[in-house]
Amino acid sequence: MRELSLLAILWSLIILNSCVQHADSETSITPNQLDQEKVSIEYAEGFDVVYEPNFIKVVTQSIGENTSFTDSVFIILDSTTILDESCKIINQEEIRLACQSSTHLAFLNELNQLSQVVGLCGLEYVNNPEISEVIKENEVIELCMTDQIQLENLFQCNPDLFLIYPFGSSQNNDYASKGIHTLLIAEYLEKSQLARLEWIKLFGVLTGKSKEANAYFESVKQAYIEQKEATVPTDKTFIMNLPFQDQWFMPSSKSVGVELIEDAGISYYYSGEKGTENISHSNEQVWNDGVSADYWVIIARREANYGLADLIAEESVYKEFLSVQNHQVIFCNTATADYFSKGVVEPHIILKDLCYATGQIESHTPQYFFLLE
Amino acid sequence: MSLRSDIPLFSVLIIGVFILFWMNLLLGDVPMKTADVFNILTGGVADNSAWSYIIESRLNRSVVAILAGGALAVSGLILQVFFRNPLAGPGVLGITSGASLGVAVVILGGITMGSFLGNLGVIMAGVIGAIAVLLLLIFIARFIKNSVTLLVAGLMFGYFTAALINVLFLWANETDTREYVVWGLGSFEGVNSTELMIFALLIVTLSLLCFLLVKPLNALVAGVDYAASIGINIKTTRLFIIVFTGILAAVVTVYCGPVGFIGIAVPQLVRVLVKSKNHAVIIPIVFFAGSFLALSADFIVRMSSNSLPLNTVTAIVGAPIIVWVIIKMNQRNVSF
Repeated sequence: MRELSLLAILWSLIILNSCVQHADSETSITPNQLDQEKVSIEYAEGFDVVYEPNFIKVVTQSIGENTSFTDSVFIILDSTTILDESCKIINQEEIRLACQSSTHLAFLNELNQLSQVVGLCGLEYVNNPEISEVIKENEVIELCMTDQIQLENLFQCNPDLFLIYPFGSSQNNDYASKGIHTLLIAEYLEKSQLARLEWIKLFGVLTGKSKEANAYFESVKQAYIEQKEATVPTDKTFIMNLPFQDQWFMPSSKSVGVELIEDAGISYYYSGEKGTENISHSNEQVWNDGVSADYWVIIARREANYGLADLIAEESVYKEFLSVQNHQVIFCNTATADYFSKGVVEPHIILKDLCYATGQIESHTPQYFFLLE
Repeated sequence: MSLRSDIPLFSVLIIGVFILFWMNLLLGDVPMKTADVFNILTGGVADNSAWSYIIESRLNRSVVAILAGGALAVSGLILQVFFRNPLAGPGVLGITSGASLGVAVVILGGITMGSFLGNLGVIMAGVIGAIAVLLLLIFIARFIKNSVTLLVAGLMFGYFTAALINVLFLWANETDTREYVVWGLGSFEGVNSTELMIFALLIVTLSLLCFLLVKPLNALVAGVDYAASIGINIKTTRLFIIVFTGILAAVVTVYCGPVGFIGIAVPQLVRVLVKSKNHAVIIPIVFFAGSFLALSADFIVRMSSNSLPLNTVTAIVGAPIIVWVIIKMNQRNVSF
């Protein structure tokens, strides 16, 4: 076992140094780069930042057993450092970023670095007016047609770094051969809301805003933990979501979304079910359970003035649900609230919304979740 | 052969459909006592207020399965006789594809099936798509004498509409694409009681109208020339066949999605099992055989908590039947 550990450390050192070759001349380090605040990782498992005298190495990696990958980029602090050709080197100053997910924009927006974004997959899905306005002003290029990346558009925006999902990663080799640096980002695989939020530190390092990222993370973390600790657990239960055709895809009891709602003091109706993937239930089963679940948390895209009557119009059995009868349907309308993007960097506000809806706090203006009337 | 020789087969099918119908009502993800089910069916109140909705849903989808399976099978039988081709089925004339195109325009156009308007929109668009292709076929049929050429024209309609649907995919978002793909997998669920009334009225009426084709179908088995020689008006027969089978297939497709294999496999299987050559006997047997297969497939889907798509089950059951029948026909050198 000990030998294996030593071997692993040795291998890590080899990997770490394999890209780096030091020039004989004296080092030339930019003062503002030396002044950068370091980031340390507290919750996140999917990335790491390694600080060396001449460079910073940003590593991303898979979490859990469902995927397996590791990726890295290098930020050179010493301009005389020479790296192997296979290393992906980026420059923090004036970095041009392309993003495959609008969630990345939320992190960059909090760091006031949206101007670095030159390309995005799914411009039409950005429903945060603040972000939408900036990307429109900056003439950010649409990178995707259906699910496919449009290479011509990607070349047109000419990014220094393309932030991509790990699935379909065989395409990465293609990007590399065309001279486009990529970095695999899988913040959605993290096991807690704060771990997901902590990815802001990675974006901080990439854009030279580590200090701001640390400050933002700390403030949100404090607010979240304070609210969570102030919450009184209850014996109330909740079900989630709406059916897709004949199936209800309930999140796993271990999912980040469920844990966030449970932090508001209510328990998941399907908490006894095992596994880390979504749980598929038939209409019958959820109709049967909906009659006794106290709350119903729905995250869906509907018209702006969507109400309880509209919900019942979708399926008349819903009027038998305890949550509907007691007006305890907690709804997040993704057509008006930027839950999937901005929500990732504002878990403290989401938690407050949920606590307000479940009666844990008396005064609050909901931003994401509210009780359906 | 007399009608009497096929009575056992007919009886087995009716009893089979009856048993499956009750199994579909009594069994499911939510276990209920038989007494509770009877209580709900007779207007009583159950312990759990959702149970009456669950029983209504089970009842509706069972009736839909019976009618849809029967309609597809009858439609397939008539087309196989008419085209003298064992691979002809409700999908070959392109009418199913026309219905699919109509549905695709609505779903991929962004109107969700979750709302009442969306559901109504899907049904209306599907009917319009199917009728458009149907009218086009009737128009073309005036200039085509050969039935096989008409079959090829139907296939071309299918390819054309499929191409248009692919174009629609380009503009659709991920949710709508997923919704359309799931619709394409087929399902007997989701038809409410009001929709069921319309569905049942259309299927029963059209299935009964198919009995008007008994005499021409009996004659067509011996060939078009023979049918014409005994006074069958081939042009009118062809028009009725296109209209009846087309509307049957379109109605089922709009409500249940493009359900595969039942329309091809069941008529072939029945032809092997049935002794009578009279379509007045064959049509009801084929109808109940279709109902039996559809109910069986839906029962399997329900027992898998709806995780298995309907078309997967019909394909698993239907494809071996087709292969078996083709081999058997080859051995006996039988043709349509």
